[in-house]
Amino acid sequence: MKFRRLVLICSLTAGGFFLPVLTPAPSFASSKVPECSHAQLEVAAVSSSGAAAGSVGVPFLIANTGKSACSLRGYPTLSFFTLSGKPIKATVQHGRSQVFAGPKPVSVTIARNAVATFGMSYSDGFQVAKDTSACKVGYVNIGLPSIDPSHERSQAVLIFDMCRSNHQVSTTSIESGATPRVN
Amino acid sequence: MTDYYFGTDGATDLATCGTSGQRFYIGKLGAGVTAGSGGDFDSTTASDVGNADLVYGYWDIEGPTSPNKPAGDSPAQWGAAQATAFIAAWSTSTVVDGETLFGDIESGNPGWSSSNKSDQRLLVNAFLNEINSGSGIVAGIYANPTDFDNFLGSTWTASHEFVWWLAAWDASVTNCVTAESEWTNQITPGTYDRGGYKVMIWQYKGSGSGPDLDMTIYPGFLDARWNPVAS
Repeated sequence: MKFRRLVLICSLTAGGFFLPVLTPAPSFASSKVPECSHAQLEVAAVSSSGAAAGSVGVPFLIANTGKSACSLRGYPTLSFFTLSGKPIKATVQHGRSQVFAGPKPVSVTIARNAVATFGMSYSDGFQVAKDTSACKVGYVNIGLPSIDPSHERSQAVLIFDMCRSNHQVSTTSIESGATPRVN
Repeated sequence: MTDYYFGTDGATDLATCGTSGQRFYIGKLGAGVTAGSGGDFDSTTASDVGNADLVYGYWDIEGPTSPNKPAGDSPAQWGAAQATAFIAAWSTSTVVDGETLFGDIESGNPGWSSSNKSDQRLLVNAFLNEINSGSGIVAGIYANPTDFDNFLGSTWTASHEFVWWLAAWDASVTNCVTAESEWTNQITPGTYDRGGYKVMIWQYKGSGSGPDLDMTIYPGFLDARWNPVAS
């Protein structure tokens, strides 16, 4: 399995904002271009877009750093790990969340040096025991649709407490543009 | 006999919990010093609650290390500035008339840290003071107990009063019926009282995909305002 450690994200509580140096030129819906491969993509989590009375939304950017346009359609797969690499179980739901609108999947073409996006949400209000160290997410592996997840995934630093979300997260489909649609 | 009143918040659609349905709604009006719901204000639900006095607003408070804080602002000035922006948004809203204004403190908002309690207390006290100085309005705080304890301290007492809106979800609380019994088990003992004030509203259910469900036994909101109760 090949991992590409791509990202850079700040602690969610730090409020920083690190983005790939790419133009936010629009991606657009189409299906007449080749599907993307991980070799031409970089994925980055952006710091939290803000909270919503217990729900946190994290936008991700998918940057096409290849030589030509490519397309994606569907939902990313997400798997979570502690900083030491221990897996953390999670149920990933698709669609609308308290933060993001969650539009239906469409084929999204990402032009060269442009970005697409998806949004991940998790909740932050479940009662927890004092020691939740086994729940401290350190990074997330991201498989993109149409790409065999057994071969390649991207990896992004992402800090949150999975116990406080009761091991449930949700994700939108890949969307055009640089910001997932909110409700 | 205790009366229980149910409500929702954020992007949650109208709920039907309780014998009298949904009685109140709390939607987002802004964050930092910027007005805007970010999608967390459900206008349909707010309208369906049926009485603008039962529609309340909340505001994401950003901590003292938020990148949005003006460089020259002290923590207290930053807290007061956010309260001022909140009041301005509330004043101009044609939908939100509820006179308890809730500040939302949680790790998803920028600028909070478990190692900066002193500044954070100054910020929150200034926020509360600014809201409470407004005519006919009173401050509230929304938080989960972990964040409250990490950011402010479990034994900290606020210098200014607030209505305590607790987020503490229990997977066993699956509907309003179990929520009623769990108010007695979980809220009444005072375990979750914080800052010197009793829990007045309990967000007993929520998730990343919703819905957010709330309840209270304090009927003050029926007259447009919860008023704080000291613990």
